[in-house]
Amino acid sequence: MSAVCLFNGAYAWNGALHSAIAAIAEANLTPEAKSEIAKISDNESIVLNALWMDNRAEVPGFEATLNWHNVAITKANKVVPVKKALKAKRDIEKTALAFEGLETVLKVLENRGAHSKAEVFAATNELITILADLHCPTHYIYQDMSEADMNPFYFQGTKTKSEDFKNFWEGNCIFHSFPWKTREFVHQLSRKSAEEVATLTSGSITKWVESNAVRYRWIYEVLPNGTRFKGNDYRLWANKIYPFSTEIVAEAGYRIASVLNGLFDPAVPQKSLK
Amino acid sequence: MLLGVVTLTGTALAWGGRGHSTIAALADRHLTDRARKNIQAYTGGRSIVYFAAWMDHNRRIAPYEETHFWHVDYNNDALRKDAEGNPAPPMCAYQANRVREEMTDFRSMSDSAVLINIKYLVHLLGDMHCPSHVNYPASRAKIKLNGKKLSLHKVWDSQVMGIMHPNLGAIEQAEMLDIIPENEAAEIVKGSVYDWFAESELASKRAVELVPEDKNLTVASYLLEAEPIARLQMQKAGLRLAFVLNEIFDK
Repeated sequence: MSAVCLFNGAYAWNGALHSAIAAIAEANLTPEAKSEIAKISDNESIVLNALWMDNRAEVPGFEATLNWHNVAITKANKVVPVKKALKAKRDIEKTALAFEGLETVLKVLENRGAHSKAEVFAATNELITILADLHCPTHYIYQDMSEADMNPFYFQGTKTKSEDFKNFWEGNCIFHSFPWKTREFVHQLSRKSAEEVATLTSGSITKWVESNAVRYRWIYEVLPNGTRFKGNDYRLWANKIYPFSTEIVAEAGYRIASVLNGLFDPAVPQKSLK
Repeated sequence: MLLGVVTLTGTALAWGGRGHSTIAALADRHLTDRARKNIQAYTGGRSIVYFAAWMDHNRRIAPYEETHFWHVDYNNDALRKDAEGNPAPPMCAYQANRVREEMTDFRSMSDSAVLINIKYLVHLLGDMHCPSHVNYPASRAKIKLNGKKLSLHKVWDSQVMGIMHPNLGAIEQAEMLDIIPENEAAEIVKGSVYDWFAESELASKRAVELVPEDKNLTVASYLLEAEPIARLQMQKAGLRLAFVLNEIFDK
């Protein structure tokens, strides 16, 4: 089980980036949404619980959440429906059930009165993790790509061991350029204008994911498997990557805020899944 | 080959990425609203902190290779000529001063020229306040840090603040450092870029004098006394960076 879990990159963004995304989201909650969420979390910040779902992956009762980190994507960049994903030949697609997770937690959050405070709290934390993961390029399982192609490796310099591409995209894509901590992410990335936010958060969650699916293919174009960086090539490449990776972290934060605002603030239209 | 090429090998990241971000974040807290607005018109809305380490990221990359030599400057103990007697290339304080003067007329420049000069100022004002970026043999001495061989230069680049404040990010460090009373801050920003660099030379000499006889630097034998020097140099760098940017952009 653990082999499957690790291969699927269950931990998505590393802990620091999950916290950063949650902090950007928190900075963009409406006062009403923030207040309502505080009631169900006993005033705990959503940043504190950014890794809540990851930390329970092996806890009895939370087994299903292990498959809620990835999404299967068709050649045409459409989300593979959960029922179809479950019937796929490859395990990597069968376990790419982020939309099962979204459907489950949104049902709870849209009918909060019918659920206990603990259930609403869990669903809120799970929603934040799933949406963050859906902005991490390595969590897109493309049906038209082989598993090997989606797990490239690279070398820095001539004497180094190979490095895992997933590790790079789950943190080092930013941390190799910026040693930011959580508050620096907010300072740097929570700076969009109201117009930019409106554009970024328009459309449904599915539309966001399908739009991400198109853009995220780029990560495999910019690093062919087995690339060996020599001299300054790695720095040149890293400089090309970080504007993209910092932007998708910002996008994750703003979109999570828009979903939470829609769920917890009656004055804000609710985001639809489809 | 120029002497500078030899002596600059391994200059690493002055202050480290976090240190540079701290200085920029401190400066950001002292920008006037007008200066910040004018700057962000060129940075696409980004904070100056985003560009704090840009020069380090691009120093070996075309077309910025010549900037590789801009990160340090010489003091009077340093050789300024190569074996053939050619003068060493202009360095950190010179470049910071040059950019500061050029930018007085920033509205006549192209947007891209203004942006690159913002990146230069944000970084160079930081570098020129780092004691190890006063470049002479003693400031590059080989020492041990907790028993591990290292250059004194690298200790000052990132280890002093990194070891003494391991868990603070740039924003927290900037808040921690932003405690200089207004009247003292007004004194700090007086003088020219070269006056400021002369203070860095004194800080650098103190950094060398503090090295214990056995050259093994520990918290007790070195870092406790080094940290206030690093802290003050970062405070000066942040306040002076804000002063220069306000002088240019608050109009």
